[in-house]
Amino acid sequence: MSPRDAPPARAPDSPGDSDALDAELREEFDHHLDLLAASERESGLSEPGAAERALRRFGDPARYARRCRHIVLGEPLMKTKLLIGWNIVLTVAVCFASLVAYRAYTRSVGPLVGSGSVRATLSDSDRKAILRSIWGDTAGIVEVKGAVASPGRFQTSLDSPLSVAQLVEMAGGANPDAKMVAMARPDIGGEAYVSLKNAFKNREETQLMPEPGSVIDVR
Amino acid sequence: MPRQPQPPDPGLLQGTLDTLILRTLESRGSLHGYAIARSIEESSGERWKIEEGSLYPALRRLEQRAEVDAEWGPSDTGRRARFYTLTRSGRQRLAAAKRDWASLAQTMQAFLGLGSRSARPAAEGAS
Repeated sequence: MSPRDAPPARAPDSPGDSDALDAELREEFDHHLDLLAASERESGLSEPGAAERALRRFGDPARYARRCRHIVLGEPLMKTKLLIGWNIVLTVAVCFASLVAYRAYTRSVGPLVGSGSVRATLSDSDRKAILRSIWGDTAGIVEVKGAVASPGRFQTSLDSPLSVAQLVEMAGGANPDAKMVAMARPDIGGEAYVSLKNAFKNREETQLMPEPGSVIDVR
Repeated sequence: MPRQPQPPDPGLLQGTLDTLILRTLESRGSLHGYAIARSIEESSGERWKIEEGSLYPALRRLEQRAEVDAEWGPSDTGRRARFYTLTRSGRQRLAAAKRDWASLAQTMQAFLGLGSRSARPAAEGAS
């Protein structure tokens, strides 16, 4: 095979090609060093002496390999490294934000649904039972008022956002006269409140919700 | 006693390695790195001894600029070697380098007050 028959040289541009370049340089340098050592042996040097002299004439192969790598791969390799670095930073940031959001959410849900172990597996009937156990005398609930900055949903469990209407339906379902009023409260900005009138207890409890989506313990 | 030829100042050679390689490939055709090193050494009457590993970054740079082509093939020893060949673009660059060198040499001769007969290396003139 003549040199012309060999596959054409190609600039490596991926980690796999980077390994190929290293192997290529190694083979090329070894060829050069072996020929140099052979010429030194011909001039009468011993095997180790010839190898040492060849290396001295060649210079540091690792240094020249690094220079070659920089010339061939320099910019693409830098781009790849930057891209990988950016993806790692992005992934860590997303994970951290998700963790923070999850912890904030579970803290806000906690007071209403109780133990975390049931939070993710509540069926509608379970949820209803739990709400009733928390709210106590649901038959006495005659009105639940809920308001958010824009009428929306209260998050009552990890996997099921409930509207105010659903909340009332579950909590006061035993009392057909229970009613709900949901209204916008622009004056409280991103906050919201829910209040509960209990005719039997003859009192109204109102709590501000510190964050949109958080849940009030209305006991 | 004639003076021994001195190796040129390394600073003088800096940047000229590309030209030496291009010229070697122009005159000798397709060569691998070791043969290029031998050719440069012989052409200079063994006055120019470079650290031979430095050829390879230069060759890779020339290849990146498409001034040389590189292909693997069997060498005289039967082993695989990477052979370098001058491209058209490399010839153009070499022609430009020759013009630049001629112009620089002429300018320096005039500046140093050297006649055309003194165009030989200073070491020879001094002997």
